[in-house]
Amino acid sequence: MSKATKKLVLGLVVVVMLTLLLGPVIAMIGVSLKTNAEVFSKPVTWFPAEPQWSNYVTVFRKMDILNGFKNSLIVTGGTIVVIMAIAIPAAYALSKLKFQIKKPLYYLVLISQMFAPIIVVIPLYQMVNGWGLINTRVSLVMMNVTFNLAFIVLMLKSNFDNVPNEIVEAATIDGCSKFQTLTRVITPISATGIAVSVIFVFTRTWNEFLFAFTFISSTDKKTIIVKLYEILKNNPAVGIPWELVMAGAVLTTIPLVVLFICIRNYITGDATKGAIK
Amino acid sequence: MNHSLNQDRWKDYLYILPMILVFCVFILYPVVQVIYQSFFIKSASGEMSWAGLGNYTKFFHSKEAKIVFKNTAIWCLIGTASKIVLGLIMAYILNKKFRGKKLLTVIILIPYAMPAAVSCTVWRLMYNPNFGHINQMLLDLHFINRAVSFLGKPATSLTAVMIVNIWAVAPFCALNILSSMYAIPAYIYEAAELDGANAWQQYMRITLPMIFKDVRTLALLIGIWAFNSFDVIYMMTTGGPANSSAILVNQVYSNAFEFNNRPYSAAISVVCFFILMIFAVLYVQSKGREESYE
Repeated sequence: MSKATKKLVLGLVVVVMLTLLLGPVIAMIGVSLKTNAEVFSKPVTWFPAEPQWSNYVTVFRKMDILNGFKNSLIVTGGTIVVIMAIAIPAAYALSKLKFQIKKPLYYLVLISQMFAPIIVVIPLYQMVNGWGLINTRVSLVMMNVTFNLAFIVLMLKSNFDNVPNEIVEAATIDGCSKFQTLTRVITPISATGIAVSVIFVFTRTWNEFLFAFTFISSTDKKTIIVKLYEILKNNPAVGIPWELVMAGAVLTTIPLVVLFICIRNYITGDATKGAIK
Repeated sequence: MNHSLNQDRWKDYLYILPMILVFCVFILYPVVQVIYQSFFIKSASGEMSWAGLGNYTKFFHSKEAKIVFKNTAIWCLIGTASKIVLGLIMAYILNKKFRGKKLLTVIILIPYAMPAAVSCTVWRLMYNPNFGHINQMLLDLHFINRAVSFLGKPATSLTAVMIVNIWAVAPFCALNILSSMYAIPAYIYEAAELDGANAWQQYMRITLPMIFKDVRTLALLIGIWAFNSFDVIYMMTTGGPANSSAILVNQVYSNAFEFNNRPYSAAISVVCFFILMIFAVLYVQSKGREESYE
């Protein structure tokens, strides 16, 4: 094959790839700018005759989106605070301290990382219900902390592993206690890694569906994800204001895409290995 | 000295205590509970009585089990294989030098960054037989004569949902594979170049063998994710019609929350748990090997 044909083939493959990946995204944006009549008219078009930007305003008035965003933010914020308070010391211990059960503990964390919440959803529901916490945002924070903890501890551990032991030893000689070493040496050095794990917790909690759907029954406490889904669930397909749902979908996606772009180099976990150099 | 050392040791456990507490209260205890509950049976009046392995034999002999096991196998094996193959192709392209490459790496992230609830909403609209984009395209291209309800037909529902899942996860695989490819030292390719190996030979003889271990670990991980992915299927079809797109975890949910038969659902949970543990051990082994390899 000559160089020109190779380039052409490569270009074609890239175009096909982009179309498949972005097709649904374009459909989402396209529909979010249509009028309701346009959504249901045939033949189905990808773009509106005239973009209806007002859909993005109407969606706030008509669909209680703001409340959903507020609930999602409360749950996500709470989860981030609690999980970091638990995970940073644990990751520090696994990375820098010496104690007997370290190895089995590491494997325990590794295995619980793949644990599916759905398997234990019944006893968890009963337990939380027994504590009188069902239908509260606190219960969602507890669940999100539990099922992200292992992942975050592992991520932070690999970050802390990058802090050279000489630095830790030097801090000890200078009179830092173990706790001071963590707060004054390890944490500042690993700031980027910690920020990345915060973003991971954010996206995973923001997207969480199972508990947000089963534990919360009052409309004013539901997260944005559940609200979006329930519009589809509670209406027959023809009765759904698709253009507004899609406007809501775009608004829900934007913060996540922005965050993901910020941490794109860390998603594979490889860049975190070379965080400090 | 010795005394203070011991005191320090004791303090060390405080760092991991909260994590262990969370795991014990919210994972370990519920797992024990689920196993315990699975041995009971609920009578019509709501009273629990000991049933031994009754729920298990009932499930394994049921008609749903047959469909659901088959679906789980298809969903996990074909789904994972497709994601890996597409990931390899995308990574192969992204590893080449061309203009706009950086932008492309960002763009392929979008499907993965979209919340499952959002992508399911969009795909449900696109699959709609009356006003969906997919039917319109297939009609225009004369692949079909009449609009098809892909999500509403038992023959197509699982495939339709699987496509959504592959679309969302394949970019993640691509980025992972790409980072493994970046880790291969450049001098190996330079040496191969000197020996006269062409690009394809280099890919088959150097790249693939070098990334094989990483890809195997990745395949296990996304296989486990697929096994657990209740939400995508539930939001697309709720496992229907007639269980045609349901996998094991969907049965856990529907029996617990829709048919209100918790002991039976618990038994299916335990089945899931054991299958998952097999894969988890494989994953940990694979990951351990990868680390010692480094």
